[in-house]
Amino acid sequence: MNGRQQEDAVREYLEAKLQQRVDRRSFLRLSSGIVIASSAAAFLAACSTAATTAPTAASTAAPTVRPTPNIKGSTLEWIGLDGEDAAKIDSAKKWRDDNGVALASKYIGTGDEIFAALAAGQQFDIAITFNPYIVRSAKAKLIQPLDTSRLTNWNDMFEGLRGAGFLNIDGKPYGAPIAWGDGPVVFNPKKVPQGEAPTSIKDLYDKKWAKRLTMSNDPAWLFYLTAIDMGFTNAPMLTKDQLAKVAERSAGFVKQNVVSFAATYADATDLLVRGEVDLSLLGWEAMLNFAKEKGGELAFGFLKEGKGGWSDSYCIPTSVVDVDAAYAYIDAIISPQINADVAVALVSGAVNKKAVPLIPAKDNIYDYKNVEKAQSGVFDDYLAPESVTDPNIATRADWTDAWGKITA
Amino acid sequence: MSIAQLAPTLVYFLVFYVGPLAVLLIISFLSFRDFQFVEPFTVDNYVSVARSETFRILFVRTVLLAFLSAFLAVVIAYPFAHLITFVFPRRSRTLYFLVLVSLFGGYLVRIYAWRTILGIEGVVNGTLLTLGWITDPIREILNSPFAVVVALVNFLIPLAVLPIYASMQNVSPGLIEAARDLGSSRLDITRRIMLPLVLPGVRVAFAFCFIAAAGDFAIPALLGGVGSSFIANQIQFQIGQTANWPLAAAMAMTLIALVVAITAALTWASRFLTR
Repeated sequence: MNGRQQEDAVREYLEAKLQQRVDRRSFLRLSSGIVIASSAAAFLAACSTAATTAPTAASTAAPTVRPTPNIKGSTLEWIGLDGEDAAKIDSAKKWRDDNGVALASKYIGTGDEIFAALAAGQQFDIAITFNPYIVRSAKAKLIQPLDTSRLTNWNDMFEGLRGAGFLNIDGKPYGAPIAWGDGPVVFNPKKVPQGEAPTSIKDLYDKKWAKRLTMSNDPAWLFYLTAIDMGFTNAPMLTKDQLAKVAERSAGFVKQNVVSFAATYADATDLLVRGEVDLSLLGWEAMLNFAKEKGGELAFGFLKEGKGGWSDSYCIPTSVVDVDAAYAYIDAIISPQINADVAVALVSGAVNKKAVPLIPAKDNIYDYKNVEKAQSGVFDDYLAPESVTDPNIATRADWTDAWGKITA
Repeated sequence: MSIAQLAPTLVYFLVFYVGPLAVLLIISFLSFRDFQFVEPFTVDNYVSVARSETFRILFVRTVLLAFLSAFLAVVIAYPFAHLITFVFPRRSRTLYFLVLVSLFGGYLVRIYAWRTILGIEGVVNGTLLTLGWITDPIREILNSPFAVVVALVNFLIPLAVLPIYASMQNVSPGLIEAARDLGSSRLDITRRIMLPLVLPGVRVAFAFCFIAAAGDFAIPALLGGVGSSFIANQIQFQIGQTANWPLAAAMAMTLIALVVAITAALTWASRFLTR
């Protein structure tokens, strides 16, 4: 190919690109690219003058909800934990194929990362939001209330989930729970006979547990349980004085009884099965199945101060593009068969009453009485507030500082 | 070498190293509230780091354990590189390849292997029990600073062997032969001939190991238990649990500055002492 031919080929390619139809998402992507580039320039300019506060994308972005009549050909931009998009679940895949919907998933590790991504103005159609974050996300205007009339399976959801305090603000639900579970303590029954299993965090403070425990490297759950045990029922809205007392008591517990921090549930299972620890404060019923795969046997129980309930919900961000596809997919995920398959895949409880009988007996490990009533007391909000108006209330940064001193 | 020849490396270095580092530096001067950056350009994060007792404890522990691990790695790597170069020169390629192969092993796999070895039902406890030296397994072998140093040394040895081996290639066997013919003892040959020639490689090896160890977080997290955390674990905690990127960035920048200063001081001291 000579120079002239090359030029012709390039021109031909560019002309073809020019003629190409630009769909809405491509346009928005292109626009957001330009916005990001402009923001970067503005940010650098701000850096050079250091005179003004940089506005966040979330505070300036307007919702771009424009319903489309047909979801065929949609690509759902999804953010959340790996597996919770049901990407590998056959029944969900069939629904996507039948409806011509594709998934573009971004997997993250923590609730903070999802919050940060939405706050940074990243655009998603569905965002997984963990129960303690829903109200925070709604108040930050990162997610929008759901129109439950668009969800045909909504009324089949357990009342303890759809009516849960973590989900609703002024009677409006801000997400559709797709899975739930609780946070038991998990132990090795050979080392901890059932009769000796702890029923209160107070039991675990005993010296007989010295160097026998593991937990996650996170103060939230321990501080919350300890605070409740100490009679601070306002937890997690602890005052700074209360936090100091809780931290002091927790320090003794950690230094005396905790031998290592578990990075994940699988890591905690590994420590239990290997005999490195006898009990894990970081617990999930699925760990019993993980242990079986390693040839081990584990058991679980609950502490009276809190059941550590969790629930992950599909929320629609205020920056949603394909709102129709988002509603359709949410409705599919909470439909009986797909939700049963999700429960099996995630080793979680089903959210749809009609899904429970569809779960194979060996995977049906949750007690659904926990979610039958709206105020079940399962879903504790144990996260300290990020910021407060009352300077006497300890923030999350205060909890983190206190934890840093304990674990250093 | 001309600028044009250096350009690809320079561009790569600027885009993938200097650029991200500059972003980190900028973030370290911001504040964070409700998961959003606010009030740009404050030194509050650095003040927090400087005043933090937690940071001081973690920094001292990180430097001490990283120093010890780097020192042990170099002490073990030196004779190994010597063996490859001078004792088994015909097998040097094979032995060198074996060192490289150990780098291919998964980092996390090796950490979990150390759990198996040092754990309560592990090889070390099993052997001690079999020999009758202990009656109950020792829990403190794993989940301790000892376990951290053992695993770090294992991870660092290949990093130490490579620069020492490379510097030994510059030592002519003729020099050693001549020294031996002139009546030098093995110790004298090592001290007077080998060390001065190999010292630059040893310095590089130590610097590699020290910097790598000081920045590690997986080994202290998975093998160190409670009370063996490094600064990197605190940085990871700030990002992963509280999403406080500015404070984490300030910690990271402080760590980089301190580690660079310590490495430079150690290099200068070793040059001064071996003049």
